[in-house]
Amino acid sequence: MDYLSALILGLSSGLACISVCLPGILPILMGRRTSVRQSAVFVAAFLTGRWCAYMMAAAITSVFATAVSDISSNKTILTATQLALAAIMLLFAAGKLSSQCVNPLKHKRFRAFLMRGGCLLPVAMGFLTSVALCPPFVTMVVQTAGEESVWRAIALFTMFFVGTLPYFVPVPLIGLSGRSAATKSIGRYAAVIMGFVYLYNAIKLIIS
Amino acid sequence: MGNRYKTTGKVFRSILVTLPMFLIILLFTTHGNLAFGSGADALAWAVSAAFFTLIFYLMLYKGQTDKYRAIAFGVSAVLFVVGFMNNLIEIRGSISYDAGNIYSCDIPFCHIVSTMVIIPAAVKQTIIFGGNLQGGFASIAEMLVIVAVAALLLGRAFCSWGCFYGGWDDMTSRIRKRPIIRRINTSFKYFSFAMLILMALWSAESLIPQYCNWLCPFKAVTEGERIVDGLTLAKNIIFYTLFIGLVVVLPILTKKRIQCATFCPMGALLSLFNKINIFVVSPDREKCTGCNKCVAKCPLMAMRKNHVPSMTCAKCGRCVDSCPTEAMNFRIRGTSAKVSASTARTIFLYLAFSFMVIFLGSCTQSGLAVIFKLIF
Repeated sequence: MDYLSALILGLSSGLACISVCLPGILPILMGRRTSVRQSAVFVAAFLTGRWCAYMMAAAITSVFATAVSDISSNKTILTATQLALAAIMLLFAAGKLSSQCVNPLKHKRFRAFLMRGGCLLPVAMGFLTSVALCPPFVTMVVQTAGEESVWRAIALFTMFFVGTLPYFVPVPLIGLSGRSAATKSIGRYAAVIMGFVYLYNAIKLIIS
Repeated sequence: MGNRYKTTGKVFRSILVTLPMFLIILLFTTHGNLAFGSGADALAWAVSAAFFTLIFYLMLYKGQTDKYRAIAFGVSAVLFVVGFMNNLIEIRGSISYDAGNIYSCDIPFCHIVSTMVIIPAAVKQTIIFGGNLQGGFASIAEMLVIVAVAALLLGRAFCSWGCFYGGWDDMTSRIRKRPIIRRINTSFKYFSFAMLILMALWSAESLIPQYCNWLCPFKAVTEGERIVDGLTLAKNIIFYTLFIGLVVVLPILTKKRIQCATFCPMGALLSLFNKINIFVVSPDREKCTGCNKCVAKCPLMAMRKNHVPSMTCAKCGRCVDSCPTEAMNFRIRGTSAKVSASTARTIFLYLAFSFMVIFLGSCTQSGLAVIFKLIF
């Protein structure tokens, strides 16, 4: 696979990417009293988490040809990521996760511990969403399986990642909904719904 | 009853204003064809035409909108279920469906699904619903046109004048005289907006209308998925639990239309159209005494503390009827409180009631025909 193909694959499958990621990001962006700028920071952190997942996949794919596709289909990992996403959503809806990007937890000791972590919540969400759900991610895994050079695999995944970026550009505009109480309520309720959706996905994986 | 409107208490004037609506009722209940299939069909037509004409006349003569609207709305909701279930039995032999019915595009399209098909249709050119695109019973194209027209002309008033599901919790919310649960967090009404956003996104991602797949309470009174395994059993338990909870129990306890106010994604979508709708309900500040009856009475929790309805107002008329100083009225957007409320109300009633007749009239007629065929 060449770099242009990876970029085009990203551009063509970015819609699938955003349709998977947006239900996770949207409730938190709406549930926070935030501006466009703060939403952009959140989205940037989310994308960083996605990119970390892609880099990990690239490194593993090139070293262990079939390992990542095994990871993607590995029920334990998928179930764990779904449960983690469900926990994040439900904790956010319950107000246990801070609306600030910098202080992800209200608990003093945890907050102090994680202060250096910066935007832990969106980074974690980006990472978990990519590992668990992203069909384009799996496509890239298949395309780069057995790639000889680790750096080339990373570069291919980066080009793919860049190809999906345009679809995330409008997302921070959610911050235009402003700081109204109605938007915050909608965001919190949406987080509850998504929490149960992720929980349902996890249960489906456990039962199947 | 006072002389609130120009037709209130005036027999001749009310009859005169009812006449054009009577012609509309005749036109849309017969479709220009008086040849009925059977005596039961003819009787059903006659009874439903007379019923709707009487309801409209009483709205004008008595000067009360909500009371008579609710009667027509509730009766139509029940008769819709009778006619709908009978239709399904005639077409496919059963009110329940399975994967085979979905693959053969045998599922009637409901207006709530509109919220879930728009994004996949626009982006992926895919209709994610197993129904007829054109022709047949409740085809996709036909229902989408009806929904689009309703959204533009009525906004959320569709929820009080057109929706064949809304009549259910409208009825149950009127059973008790006083609510048992009095304090309700009005932010719950925003749950329906969260449902709209996430059902639309989740359905677009999965290419399945997920609200229909998992959460529609009205599967309990229309068609449900055939129970063949644990999953379909779980789904049916959810459908019936939601119906009993949101459509029966909670409306009885709170005297609010809980399903419509807090859960329905279609209602949330139509609320957005309220922003551009020509008709509004608003108070005359000079007459308003701040008694808050309108706030207490509103079944959708749409009334703000400043007595101006929010965008979730379904224009049912309950606040208008219950206002002791006649401060609350239907108005044409942009006109002042001094402009005749009677004229605005009449124009609105013509529009909304016509839609009720067109959309619910045939449901009422079908349901009555089924009952008369059973009786006679």
